[in-house]
Amino acid sequence: MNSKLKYLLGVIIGSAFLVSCEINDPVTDLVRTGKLAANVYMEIPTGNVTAGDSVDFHAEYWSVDNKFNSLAIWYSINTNLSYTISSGLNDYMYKLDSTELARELQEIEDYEHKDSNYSTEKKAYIIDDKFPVSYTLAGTELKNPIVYDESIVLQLFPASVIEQFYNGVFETLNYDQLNDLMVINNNIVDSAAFETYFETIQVEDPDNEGEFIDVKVIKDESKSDLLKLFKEVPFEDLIYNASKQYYGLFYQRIYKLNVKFRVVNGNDVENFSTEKTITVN
Amino acid sequence: MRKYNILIFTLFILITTVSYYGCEKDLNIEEFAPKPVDFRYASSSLHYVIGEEISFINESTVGSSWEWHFGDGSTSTERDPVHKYSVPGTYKVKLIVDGGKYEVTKTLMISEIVPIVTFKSTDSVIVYDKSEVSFYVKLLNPENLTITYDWIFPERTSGEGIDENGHSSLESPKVVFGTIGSQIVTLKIKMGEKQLPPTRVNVRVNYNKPVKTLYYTIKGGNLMARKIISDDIDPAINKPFDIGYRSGKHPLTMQVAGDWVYIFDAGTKFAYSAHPEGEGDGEIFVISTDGSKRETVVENYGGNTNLDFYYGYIDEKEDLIYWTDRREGIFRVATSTRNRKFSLESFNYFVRNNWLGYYGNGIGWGNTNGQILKVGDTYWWAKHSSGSGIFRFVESDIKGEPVTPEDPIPAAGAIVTSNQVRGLVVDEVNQVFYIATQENFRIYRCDLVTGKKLKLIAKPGDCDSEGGDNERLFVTSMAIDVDENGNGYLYWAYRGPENNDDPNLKSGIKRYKLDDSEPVEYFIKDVEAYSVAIDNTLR
Repeated sequence: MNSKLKYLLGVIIGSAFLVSCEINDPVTDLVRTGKLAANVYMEIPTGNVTAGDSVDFHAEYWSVDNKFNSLAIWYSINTNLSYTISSGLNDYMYKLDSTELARELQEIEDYEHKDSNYSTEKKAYIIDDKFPVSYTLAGTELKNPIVYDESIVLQLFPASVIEQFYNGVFETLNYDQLNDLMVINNNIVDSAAFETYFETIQVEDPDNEGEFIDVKVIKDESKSDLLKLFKEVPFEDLIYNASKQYYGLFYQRIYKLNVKFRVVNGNDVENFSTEKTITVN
Repeated sequence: MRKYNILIFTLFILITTVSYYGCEKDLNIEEFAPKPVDFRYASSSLHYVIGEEISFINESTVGSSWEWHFGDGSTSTERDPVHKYSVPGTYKVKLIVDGGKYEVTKTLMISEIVPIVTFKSTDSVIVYDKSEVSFYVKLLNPENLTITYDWIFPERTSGEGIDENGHSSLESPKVVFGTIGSQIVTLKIKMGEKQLPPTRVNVRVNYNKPVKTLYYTIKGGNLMARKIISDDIDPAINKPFDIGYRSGKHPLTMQVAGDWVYIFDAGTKFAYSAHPEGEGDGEIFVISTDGSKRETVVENYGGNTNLDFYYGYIDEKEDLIYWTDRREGIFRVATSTRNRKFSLESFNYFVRNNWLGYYGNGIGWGNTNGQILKVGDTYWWAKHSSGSGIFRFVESDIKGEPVTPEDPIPAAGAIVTSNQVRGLVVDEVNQVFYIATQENFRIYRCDLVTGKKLKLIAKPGDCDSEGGDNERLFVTSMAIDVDENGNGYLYWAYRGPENNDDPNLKSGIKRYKLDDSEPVEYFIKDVEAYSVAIDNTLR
C-alpha cells in the first residue's frame, strides 16, 4: 500500500471516530457534564452612582440554543463602615474599617430579549440599558464636628468601638494627663487615691544622655482598676482637639453594589457575567 | 519499510478499538441539583424599608417542617412566610429545616423611610413676591398608613393653605416667598403614629432684578451672601443666602472672579508658632457662585503653618491666583489649578522679602504679610510687622535671588510705612485706596497716587482678641462696590471685642458710603465674619 494512502486512511478513520465522540464523549467517564449555559459579558462604564439614580450598563449574551428565558440585573449590597476616633490630647487614633454583606444577591430589574438586539459584528445579542439604585442607599458621613452631639455619636459609633478607643488611649496617656482628666477636670477620683495607682521609677532622660529622671507610671497591678475609673472620663473630653477646635471623630457608611447580569437560556440553565462593583454616593 | 507498515497498521487497530469502547457509553447530561435547603427573599419595591412586606421564598428540596427566625425576635413555621420589619437595621434571617437537620442563614438590610422633598417653579430664577414655587414629597408608604404633613415656611411666605405661622398641611403646597435669600422649608411628616425625622430644603430666592452680591465668610460657619440692593426696599426683606459650604478656619481674604468665589484660608494657626512644621492646614478653595460645587485649589494639610494661604488676589486679566504666606513671600499659579498639595518643591516663590530692593530698606527678615493686589502693572504688597506699610513694585524689580545693597529700591516706592496694614482695597474710579491698620484698629482712605492718608473712616479702637496682643487680625479684607460715577460703598467684616456692650463695637458687616455723605453703618448685624467679597456680575 502506498504510504501516503495509509496516512490518509488513518486520518479519515481517526477523524470519523473523533467526530462521533463529539456526541458520545469518552470524557463523560471522567467528568460530570451539565447542560450548556449561555455566555454572558457585561460592562459598566462608571464606578460610582448617586443614590436614587440609575446606572448605565452594556451586556452581551449568546447561547447555542438561541433561546432566552430570562435576562436580568442582579446585585448584592455590601456596607462599608469606617470609624476613626482621634485623641485630642496626643496623636493616638483608633481606626476600624469593616465590610459586611447587607443584602443577598437578588434580581433588581429584568429585561426583554429581542431578536433585534443581535449584533452581527459582535455575534451576540446586546443590551444597553439602565438599572435602578434605591435612594435609601445614600451614604452617611460625620467628620470632625465642631459641636458634640452625644445622641448622634452613640447612634453612629458602636459601644465596642468607643470601648477600644478608651482602652487604647489609656495606654498612651501620662501621669499629668490622667491627673488632669480624672482628678482636676472630672473629680472621678481624689488626689490621694489617684496617687495610689502609681509608682515612681527612674528612666534615662531623653534630653540628657546618662542622666536619670523620676517618672510616675501606673503600677501593673493597678492598671485594670485605673482603666475602669478612666472609662468614667466623658468621651468628649478625650476627643476634643483644642487647637483645631473640633471633635476628632470620623464616621462613614457607604454602600457598594456587586452587580452581575444573569441570563437563563432555553434549557433553564442560568449563567452570570463577572461581577462589577459600584460605589453608591 | 515493512516493519514500519506493520507499526502503522497496529496503531490503526488500537485507535479504532479505543475509540469504539470509548464511545460505547452515551454522554450523560445531568441536571445538577440545587442546595437541599435554601431560600431567597423579595420585596415589592427596590427599597426594602420598614413596614414593607418581605416575601421569604423557600427553595428547599428536602424537609417537611420549617422554622424561620427573622432576626428581629419574630419567628414563623410557614413554608413561605411574609414578614414586615418595624425597625431599620441589618438582620440575619435563619431557616431551620426538619428540626435542625438543615439550616441556612442570610443577611437582609432594612432601611428607614425617608421623605424626599423637591420643588420647582415655572420661573427659571425664583424671585421674591412673584414666583410660584410648588413643593412635592416622595414618600414610601408600604402599609398605607394615614399621613399628615406639616410644612413650615419662613415668615412672609404666602400661598393656599398657609396659616399665619407659616404652616401648611397640604401634601403639595404652592407658595410665593416674601423675602430674598435662603428660604429654609421644613417638612414634618407623621405616618400613622410615627413621626418621621424632619426634612429641610434650602430654596434660594432672588430680588426682582439682577443685582450685585456680597459674599462673606462666617467664623465657624458657612459661606454666606446677601444681595446689594440700592432700591428703597424694607431691609428686612433682603435676607442672607446660606451657600451651604463651610467658610474655612481663618479665611482672611476672598475674591469673586467669574463664576467662582476664591477663599484663602490661613488655617487654624495664623500667628507666631514655635513649632510650625506639621501644623499647616490652610487651603485655597473655590465655591461656585450658585453654590453648586466646591473645589480645592491647593492645600497645606500637615505642612508648615507659615506656608498656609494668608492673603490672596485673583488677576482676572492674566488668569492668575496670587497668595502670600505668613512672612516670607508671594506665590502665584494659574486660576485653573485644582487639587494640588502644597510643598516648596512643587511651588516656586514669585517674590521673596529679600528679592526686592526694599530688603533692608523697609522690609526685613520675617516681616509678616498683609493683602497683596495689583494696580495696573504694579504690585502692592502690604506688611504689618516691624517692616510695615505697602511696598509697590513691578515684575522687573524682582531679582529672583537675594539682593545686595547696590540693588535699587523699586521706583514705585513704599507708602503708608508708618502703618501696619492688614486689609487693603483700591478704588480706581475715585483714585483712592483704603487700609485697615493693625496697630490702632483703624480704617483710612488714602490717595492712590501719593499714598497720603486723606480721611479716617472708622476707628473702633478695638476688636476681638484673635491673634493676641501682637498679631490681632482686626480687618483683613475689604471690598469696594463702586459705579462709574464713583458712588457706592466700602464693605468690611468687623469682629468686635468679646463681652462688650458698646453698640459701635458689635460684630457685623459694616459699610461706608464712598461720597462720605453718611456715617458708617451695619450692612449685616450680629455676624462674626473674616472676609468679604463682591460679585460685580448682576445675578
